[in-house]
Amino acid sequence: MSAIRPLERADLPAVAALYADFMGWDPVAASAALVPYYARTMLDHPYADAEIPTLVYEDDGDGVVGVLGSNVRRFVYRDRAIRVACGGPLVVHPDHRPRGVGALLLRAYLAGPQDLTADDRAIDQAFEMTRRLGGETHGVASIGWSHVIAPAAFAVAALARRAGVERRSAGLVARAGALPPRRSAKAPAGVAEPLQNAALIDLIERLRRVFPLRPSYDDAYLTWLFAEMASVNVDGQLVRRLVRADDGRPLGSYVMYVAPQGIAEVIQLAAAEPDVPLVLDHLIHDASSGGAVEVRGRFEQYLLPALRRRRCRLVPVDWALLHSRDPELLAAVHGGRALLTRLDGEWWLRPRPFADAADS
Amino acid sequence: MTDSAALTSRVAELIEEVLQVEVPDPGTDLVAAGLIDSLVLVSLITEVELEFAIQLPIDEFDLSRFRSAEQIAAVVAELAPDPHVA
Repeated sequence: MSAIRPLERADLPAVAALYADFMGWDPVAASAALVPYYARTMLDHPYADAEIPTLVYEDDGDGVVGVLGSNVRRFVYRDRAIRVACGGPLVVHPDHRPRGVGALLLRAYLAGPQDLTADDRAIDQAFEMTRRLGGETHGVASIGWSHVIAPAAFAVAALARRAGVERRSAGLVARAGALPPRRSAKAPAGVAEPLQNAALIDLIERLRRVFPLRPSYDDAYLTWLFAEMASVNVDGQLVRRLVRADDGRPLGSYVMYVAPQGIAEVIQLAAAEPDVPLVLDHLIHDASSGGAVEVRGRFEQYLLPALRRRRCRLVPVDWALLHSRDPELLAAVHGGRALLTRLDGEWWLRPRPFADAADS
Repeated sequence: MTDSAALTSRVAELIEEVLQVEVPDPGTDLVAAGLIDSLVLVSLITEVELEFAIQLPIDEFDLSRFRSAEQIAAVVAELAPDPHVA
């Protein structure tokens, strides 16, 4: 009988073939990169959890025809250890989509023992399925923000994206980027320094009263995380900084991808609300120094006042979805008392088997 | 009307209410008729569980037994101690 079961190592070639087919890649050529990638991110992840595994749907006749990845994160809520599960990617062979295989995989995943399920890269169909299975929209985080650093270069880059000639227009964007920026290039107060694992762990502990629901990082996990993020590198160079006040006090941190002549994508900005403006100033200054023409991120409650003051515009992003049987956890997220960002999701997890392949 | 026929009728009514479609016949294959896709299936599973106070299998959900009102009624009859009082 067809059934849903945990992913096994022997399934990896079939899973890679499913994803390659979904992306329109040559399955044989892509497999060499995708199999080890999925082994790293689905089976050998530092927080891989046998109770919340990646799920596959095995059809009697066709074998593995669907997969739903599981990315487990360790969090704490007040002093209680909790498990946050980020499901994705969800890929089903086209012949089996009408049979509801995707819905059954998602239903099985949401029935797992995790305390909270959070998806930060859901397309419209997953959005509908999750809501019908009792999930809900993380409304604020389903909206993106954009801050234009260099208006002339931004306009050229946007036109090039629309025309599909980004590479050929890189020189033009660079020349436009040499025009005066929107704001002074003067460095903000305080100091931004490379973000070390211990500093991020310490910072989040300092923010425990601001964010009762927060990640519970350790050095081994962060080492794995940042190495994996750097290797994915789909959106530019990975940049991570700790921002200190002039007196040396840590105020906040940020992690982002910076694409020269392109977009700087914010993955996480961690700071208490009063300190967000200065940390954001450093982030934008850093992105500008790296050649980005625009900074983008998703809204979080604690970012709203600072982003509002900067008159950031709204941009579409993927759906952010939540599911939990614990209303207190959901209330913490919706009430802005959670540090639950793209760093702890699967937004950045995008395999790239070919140097010039389009990302997902 | 037998218990089985009454249960099938209840399931057909539920399908019509949830899917907003008319079930031509209790034996109609809803998938083959194009009445069920992924989203509809999710709604139907959830509604059947709520209506009959049962938990349908998670890992071994046999889709081939969930294609008509008659089949769904048979699944409910297996899982519900007394589907008529649920």
